Amino acid sequence: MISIYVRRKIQDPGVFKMLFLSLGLFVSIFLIGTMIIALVGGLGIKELLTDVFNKDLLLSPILIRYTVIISLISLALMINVASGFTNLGGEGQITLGMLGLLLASIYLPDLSIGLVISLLLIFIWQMIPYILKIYRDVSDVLTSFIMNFIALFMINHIVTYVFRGDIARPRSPPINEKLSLHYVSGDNFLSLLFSRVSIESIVTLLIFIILLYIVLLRHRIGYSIRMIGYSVKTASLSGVKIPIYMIISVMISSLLLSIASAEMLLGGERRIYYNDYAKIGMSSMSFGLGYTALGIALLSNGRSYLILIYSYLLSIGYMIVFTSYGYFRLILGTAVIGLSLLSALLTDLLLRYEVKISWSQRR
Amino acid sequence: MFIELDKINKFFGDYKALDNVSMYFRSGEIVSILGENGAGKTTLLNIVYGLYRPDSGIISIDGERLRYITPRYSINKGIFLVQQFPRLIETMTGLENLVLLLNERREDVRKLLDEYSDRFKIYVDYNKKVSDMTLIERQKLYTLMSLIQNAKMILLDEPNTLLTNDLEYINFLRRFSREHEGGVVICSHKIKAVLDISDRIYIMRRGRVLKEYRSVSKEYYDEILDIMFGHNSDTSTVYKSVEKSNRDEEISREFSKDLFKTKDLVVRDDIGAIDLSVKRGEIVSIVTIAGRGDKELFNVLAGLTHPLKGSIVYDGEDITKKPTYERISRGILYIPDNRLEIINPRYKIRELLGLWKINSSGVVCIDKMNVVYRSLESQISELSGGNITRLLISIILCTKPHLVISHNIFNGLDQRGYAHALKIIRDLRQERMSFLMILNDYEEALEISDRIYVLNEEGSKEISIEKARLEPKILWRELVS
Repeated sequence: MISIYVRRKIQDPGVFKMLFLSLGLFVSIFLIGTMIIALVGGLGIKELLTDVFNKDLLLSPILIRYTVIISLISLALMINVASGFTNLGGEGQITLGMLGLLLASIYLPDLSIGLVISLLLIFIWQMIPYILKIYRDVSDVLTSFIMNFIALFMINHIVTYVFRGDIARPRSPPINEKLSLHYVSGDNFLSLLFSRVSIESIVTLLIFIILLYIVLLRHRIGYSIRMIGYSVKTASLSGVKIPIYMIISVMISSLLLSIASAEMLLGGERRIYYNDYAKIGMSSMSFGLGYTALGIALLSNGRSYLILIYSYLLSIGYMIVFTSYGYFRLILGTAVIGLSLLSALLTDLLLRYEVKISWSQRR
Repeated sequence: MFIELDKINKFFGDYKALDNVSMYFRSGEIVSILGENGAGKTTLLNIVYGLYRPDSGIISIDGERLRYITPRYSINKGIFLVQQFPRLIETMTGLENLVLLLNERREDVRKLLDEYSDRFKIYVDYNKKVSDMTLIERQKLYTLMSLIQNAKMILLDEPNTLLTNDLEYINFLRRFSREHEGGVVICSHKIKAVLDISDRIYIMRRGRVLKEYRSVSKEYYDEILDIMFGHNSDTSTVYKSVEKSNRDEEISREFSKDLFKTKDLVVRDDIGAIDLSVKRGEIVSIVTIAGRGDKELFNVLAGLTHPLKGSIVYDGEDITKKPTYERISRGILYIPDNRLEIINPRYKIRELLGLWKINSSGVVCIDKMNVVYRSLESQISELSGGNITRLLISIILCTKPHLVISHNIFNGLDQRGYAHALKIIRDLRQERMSFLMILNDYEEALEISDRIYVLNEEGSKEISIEKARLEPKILWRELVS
């Protein structure tokens, strides 16, 4: 008889142990998967890897861009999760952030004004489900999910009827050039790597990885935010000023999402497109970044440094999907995304739980 | 049913929680395991129920020899564990929880609950939300669930208030073992209560069984105290100092103003108005039967819910509608009876101290309360129930609030911890700190209070503490009236 015994470990594993195991798991799963695909006759593995990893660098500019964007969204959702708000509306909020930039582009063309409007729109969109959860016990999962649809349908309506920039297809006019991010220029190694992602995004990401690590795990602000996440009643009895910490956590999350939306819009085609996926019954909304980022946020368990590595692994999958020219790559890319989440899950399981598998132990 | 444990050992890291423990439990008998906090009682029950696996040793159940068992196996055999903090879904009612646990239709579960309540004479308002239930009510609900599932052996982990103050439950345990041929195993540190009810007693200390009493008599009290703690002198010394400090403070208190006051406070439809007051440097208790408005009163006093009527005045200001954090920032500290409502078990001790803005002095306070912990990086879930209570009292020591409002503050403390907590509270009282204690154990209330109120269906009523100490029956009569 097989019996599996799982028990939570009392001690927390160290940073390096977590990173090492996570990477090790991913690489081994990825290699085994690739070998199997190659053996059963999969084509273009070599070309695919070259596309993704930019020859031998493991860090192509587009891979770095995806990693930064997914990391920013995951960090934003991580602080939501820590404060007890399971935010399923990340993508809708990013689109709202883009709307903020579009409004600024039309009426007050300035990047900082655009970012402020984005931040406020995202803030409002996050606060509604969060307040309903804390004060009315309404499911945050449900309300943030519904709010996601509302945002996406609203943006579709706006780019179709209100601010349509093209007669042929529903999409916004291009964003004013005054709203631009800054990129590394020149012919050096850095510009080769960071040519597709803005300095603003990289700096924000690095600052917030360190800041959130300190704040969430080492500072009273973080203890208070996490206490709300554990239980509103416990937080109240511990003297936590719940409204203040709700605002702080949502503010940080909104800021990160507004930077992510600026990166996606201004570093891409500079137009908001009609979102074909925002139809009830479709399997996903836009590219599914919000949900995968939420997966990373949940698995990182408040450890911001893990976000970077999980996002990097996931980005590999996304790159394969986005640069796909056939179903094989699409399937492989999706499989890699799955593998990344699986390796994150296994890391979490192996490091924080004691697992024993035994055979016929009974006498 | 016959359960035998043979040379059970259990390690947590380097720490030996159980050291060659051998015991047996059988149907028709109430067996108690006495020991101080951290003696290994809960670990032992968890092994018998299958939550932990022993590192070595044999568990025999009705002759079947096993190296370990699983909770599913235990349930199939009719072994049930009623935990100190039963794990139920807080946002659901008791009935809804049981619908989920028993996987039966709502109406069927309701019928079963009514039937078993009548048969075993244990009553719980199962339509209440679990978050509104006291620990005692949760333990009773779990007991009922066990009975519905045909329990043959009930393991009770620290049912302290049930044993000391709930006659209904005590009678149930006696009937269950004698009339229904069921077995009961009680883990506790309440020596007097255990002596009243048990057929056999094991004494544990630091993971080892020190003695087995095959017959039980109240005369063993001092001897048991000695075995449990090594000596009992500190306990009596504390009691004497408590009495002395009572007399010293009496005169100054008479002239001080009320620090805290409730006026016509109604917390539940079926309970009358509550009028009580607390002066600076005073310890006031309000004694209730569990589930008769104690939880609701605590929630209202803490600002977690609004009263149906009436007002609360603190330091001359009406705080009835003030949120909890504002009350705390004005110097009130709240301790609920369920410790998990004020402590996140996944927090490290360092994080908990940080949350309460306690700096390096925290270690001094924790040491003063004799909290047993590995390091400040230890998770709170590592601590035993008694140690968590000590940790909470050390927060009082460090933060020095003006008023502490608590619900069963001594929950989980063993005899030594209780005596020590009494001393600390008395010392804090000398520093003009006030305490309002909602207690289900009237003996505790008599021991510690300067003034005492009783809460029954008619509302609150102040009882003369001197009379009540001479004749505790007065208190009991008022409680059940």
